[in-house]
Amino acid sequence: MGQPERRHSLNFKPTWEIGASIGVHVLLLGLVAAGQMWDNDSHMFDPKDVMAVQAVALPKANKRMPERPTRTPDPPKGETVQSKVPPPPPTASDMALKKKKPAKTKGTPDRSTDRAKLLNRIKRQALLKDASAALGNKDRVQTDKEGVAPEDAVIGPIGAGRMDPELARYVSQCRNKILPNWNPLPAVLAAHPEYKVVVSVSVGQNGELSKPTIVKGSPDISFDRSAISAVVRTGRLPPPPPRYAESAAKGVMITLSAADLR
Amino acid sequence: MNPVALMLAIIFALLTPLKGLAADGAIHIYVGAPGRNKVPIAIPKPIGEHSKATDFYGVVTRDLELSGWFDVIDPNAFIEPATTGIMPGQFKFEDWDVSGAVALAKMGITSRGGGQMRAEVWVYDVPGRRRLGATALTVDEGSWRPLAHRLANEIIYQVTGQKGPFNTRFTYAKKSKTGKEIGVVDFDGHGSRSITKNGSINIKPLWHPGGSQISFTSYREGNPDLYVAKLGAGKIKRISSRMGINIGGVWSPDGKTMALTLSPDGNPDVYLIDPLSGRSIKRLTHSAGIDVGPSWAPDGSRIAFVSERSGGAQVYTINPDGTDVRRVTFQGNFNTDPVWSPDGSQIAFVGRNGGHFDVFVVNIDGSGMRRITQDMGDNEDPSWSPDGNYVAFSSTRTGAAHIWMSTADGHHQAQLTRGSGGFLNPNWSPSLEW
Repeated sequence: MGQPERRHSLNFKPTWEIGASIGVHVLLLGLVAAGQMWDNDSHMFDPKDVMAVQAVALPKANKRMPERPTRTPDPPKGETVQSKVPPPPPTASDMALKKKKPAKTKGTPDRSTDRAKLLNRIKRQALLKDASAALGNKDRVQTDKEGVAPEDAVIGPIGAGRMDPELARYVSQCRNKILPNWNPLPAVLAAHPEYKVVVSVSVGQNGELSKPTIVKGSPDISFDRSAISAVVRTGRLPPPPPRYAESAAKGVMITLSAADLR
Repeated sequence: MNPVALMLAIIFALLTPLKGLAADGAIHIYVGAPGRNKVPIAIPKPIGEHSKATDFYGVVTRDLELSGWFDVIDPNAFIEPATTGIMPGQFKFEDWDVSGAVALAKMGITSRGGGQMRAEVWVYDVPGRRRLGATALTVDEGSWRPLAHRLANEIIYQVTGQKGPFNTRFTYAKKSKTGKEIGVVDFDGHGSRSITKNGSINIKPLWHPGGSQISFTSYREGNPDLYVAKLGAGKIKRISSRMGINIGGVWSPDGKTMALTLSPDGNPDVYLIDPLSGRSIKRLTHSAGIDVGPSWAPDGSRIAFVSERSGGAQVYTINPDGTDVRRVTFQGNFNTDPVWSPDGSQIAFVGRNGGHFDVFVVNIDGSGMRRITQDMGDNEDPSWSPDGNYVAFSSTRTGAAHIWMSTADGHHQAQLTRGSGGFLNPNWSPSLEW
């Protein structure tokens, strides 16, 4: 009984299909290895792991601390704290309202600058007009689209599979550009961390924003307006990567959430 | 891992194309809450006739700028006529869109008979086209400055949901010609008044939890003894004059016990005494090194202090019965002046770094240490605001020592006191309402 089975198992006949399969596998493994090496070049270690090591190291007593402790934590990011040069003392004028310099009335006016400012102003007004239309109830587009989940935002757009690093970089740059321009009322943020608003905005090839539209609003019109204002104030994002330019022109979905993710 | 499964996983991963776009074909950008982005606020000058209107306006706007919450918009950007009304329906929200205002605070001040004045503030959400809140108060003309602080508090509360610190005070020790004197000053550096005028060295003033008394150490009798000043009665009483130092008398949250540093045997240690009689209750520390600078946890369950038991000065915590000593700081070799945060989760302290003193904050378990000041002179004697949103300290960054404050995250810092300086040991009053 066993003899024929053994004979059958040993009866191996290499065919071109098997050879091709092995070849493909070897090729794939080679690609994987190359990919790993490529990744290692850019990230020799995971920064999170380093942070973990530091966190563990902190509680250890260090009696031989140098005069200027190297492990003393860095100051929070901010001009005041980071500045190596002590900031000048606030003067009475610092504490008074900041006054803008009056427009020049004497001398030859810089027409090119004025023209650029005028154009910029017109563009922003047009954007604001679009935004105002977007906020009007009758123009408000209500869809069933949901905001992007935070975990998705970390790696970029929704979708299974790995994120295109180029797009991930772009999304991150856009987020950093929009965030400083977003000024919702802190009282609303504190009271309603669940608020979320999704704005669709067309991004031109040069990054210019137009046609902001609220795709999904929050229950608070002020919160929604703050989202539109953030887009208007941002004005321009970095130019989208060429392969995503068409999609960006159709509309980038910006989700602004009251929940603090940082 | 099974090699076959590994192979399958690799092939699957490689055959899966890089995903760029969402299922709906659009690029998605997620933006979380902006944290402490400053709120653009428009504050037109108050309507009404009052001789102090300009000063009143200056106090309110400075308060809001000091808070770190607001970006006060330049009045030159306003297009609304100055005489426009302040109540709902009397103005157009659209006029304030132009200036980029998110919040709008409109005030009115009028004189009343009998030496009184009335001030009101209406706070609006410009994008939301709605009123957030309003308040009106009538006070004596002489109290226009506290009134301005109260209106600033109202504005910050309506816009942020947080109570403002503008009606708080500091007690401090200030250098004089012959020594240091204890005083009290309003939050914004105005209204300074003396507690001591004895020409001696008076240091380390600390508030009673009820805000009615201040303890301090004075050399007026030659020895560093502990005194308590009763503010209402204007009386000063010596409560501890033991041999050696009697310093840093900090009341427990219930006001029934006082922790302080004594050195009857020559070595400084932390003790508990009865603040009324001065009678010793317990010696908390017994290490060979110095143990100084006690600070109570807000619930009275622990006491932070500084000890050299491990070599350099480090921050520790201990139970009020002297048990369960835990080390909090592990970095650097000179960490001192611990102060427990009002919510009990953190301790601010001073660390020596590169020859300078800086303010740091650390979680009570020793984790999450962060720096508040850096490369800006010496920054010492931290003190938390009653709500824990700010830390005050004395800083020499501009030369002479002044009281500065910082948001608890260190991002926004501002000088509070003015003049020739010499402000040391600032201690924030215990309540937001005076």
